[in-house]
Amino acid sequence: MSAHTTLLLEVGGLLAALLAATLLARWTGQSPIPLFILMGLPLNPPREAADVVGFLATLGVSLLLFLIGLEFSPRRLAKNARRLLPAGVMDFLLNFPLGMVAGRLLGFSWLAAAFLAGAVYMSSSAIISRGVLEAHRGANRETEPLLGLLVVEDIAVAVLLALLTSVAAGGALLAAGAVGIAKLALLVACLLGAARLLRRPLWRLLGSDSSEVLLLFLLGVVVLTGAASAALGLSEALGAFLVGTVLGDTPYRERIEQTLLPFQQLSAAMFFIAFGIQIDLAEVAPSLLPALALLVVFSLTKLATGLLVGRSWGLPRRATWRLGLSLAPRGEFSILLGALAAAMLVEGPRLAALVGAYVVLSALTGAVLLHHADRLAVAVVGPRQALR
Amino acid sequence: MEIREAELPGIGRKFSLATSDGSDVVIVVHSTGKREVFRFLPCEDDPSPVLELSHEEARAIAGVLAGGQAEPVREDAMLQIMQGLHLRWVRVSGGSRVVGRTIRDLRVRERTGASVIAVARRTGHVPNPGPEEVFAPGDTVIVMGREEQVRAFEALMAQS
Repeated sequence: MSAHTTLLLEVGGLLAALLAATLLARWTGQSPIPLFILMGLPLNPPREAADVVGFLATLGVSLLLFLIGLEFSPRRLAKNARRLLPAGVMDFLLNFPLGMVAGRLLGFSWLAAAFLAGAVYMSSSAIISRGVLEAHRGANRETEPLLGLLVVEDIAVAVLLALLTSVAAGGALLAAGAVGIAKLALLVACLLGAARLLRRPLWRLLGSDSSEVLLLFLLGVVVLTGAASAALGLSEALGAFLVGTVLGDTPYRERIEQTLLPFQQLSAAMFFIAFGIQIDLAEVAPSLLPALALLVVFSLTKLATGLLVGRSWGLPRRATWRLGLSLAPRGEFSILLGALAAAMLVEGPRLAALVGAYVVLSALTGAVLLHHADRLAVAVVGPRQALR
Repeated sequence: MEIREAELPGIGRKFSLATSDGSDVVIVVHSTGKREVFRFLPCEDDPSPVLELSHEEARAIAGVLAGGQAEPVREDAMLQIMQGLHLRWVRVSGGSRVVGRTIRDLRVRERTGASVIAVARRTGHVPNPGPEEVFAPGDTVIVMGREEQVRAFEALMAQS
């Protein structure tokens, strides 16, 4: 069989696996993220198609963060900042430091423990906003702080990515961290400056009547900003996130989203399955027990986060409980940190297996909590009050 | 009476209105165009679903609610004539040359004689826009002037 045929067969096989996972996700009502990872676990790494799959996975994580950046608007956040920032700080303090402790207890280095702490701290925006939509909870009192917390975590992920990748690349902790933040600031300044100076051509391209122009422009911008970001030693995902926030500030947000959605779906699926493939099966069995322990501890810390934030937000008791019960699922960000750790750290393989197992468990159980949040909250607090 | 607006990142926007009977009406406008209407009854902490509408259904019902007419609100070409004074709603298309340019750049007043009195856009309306206001596709520009001035303005907006 020629190398070319092997390549096509390998990509075709992966697409079939992705389709199977997506069908299974629909049939069971689950998020596809844990299923993609599970589907990837037993598969062998592609030989001929390694570059193609690698590029698609990179594009996937870039587009994922680009679209999150697009939704994220500093201006919109500022309106609620006074209430959201303390809530976000509580979220961070209740989860991240304990994640570091857990990482050290499991025998990881400080740096690997920081990657793990990031992975247990980030709730999954994808799984949670989907759950809120499906349960028709848009008007509920807890939904505003819930989605607001996820937005604050988006900022935290940008800073964490800059810090962790710089420190992992080597050097003294403080110096490398400061350099990372400086590079981040430089990238932000360049992007904002370019968007301002080139506003007219930019808007005309974005508003072009031809969807091909828009598509090619967007893919080019995302990939090239990713390249610039990677050249600076930050991850390409961070560059994509930043360019997303800049373009989200133009009036074309919805158009951009619609144009990129099919590519994002394909490439994000490739990213998750590639992460599953990369996990060493031999590492999975010893990771299961620690992953279960992480699941229990960090579902409880997210419950505590929700209860505290709900109380300080002035939510009624049932809404407060629903908030606490909705924050447990981890997903895309945790996988992103796991994949980065796998690529950059000596302890990568063990950490990736642990993060993979933890994300699959928390995505599955967290979705159950999210789905039954209302019933569980009633069980704790009591049913609706009758009309007085 | 005040309608409060809040962002629901990843979902859409939420509008709430306290009605005089003591209940809260909440409308969730999804980014997909779907609308969900809820009601918080007095003394209730949780909303009760009222109805769910598509974009088109919502527009049709909005017309009935606003004016008792079974015709959807037409935002593209509303025209009012008051003794030679014309008020017109002009939509900015993606390919228009005015996109990304300011009212000053375009010298709207010198070239057409018409005055831009407001720009309506989904991210928020701009009444009495200044000369630095930038036109974006999908904006609805509300313009006032004599008939030929308003026509000249429409012609300017239609250039690509």
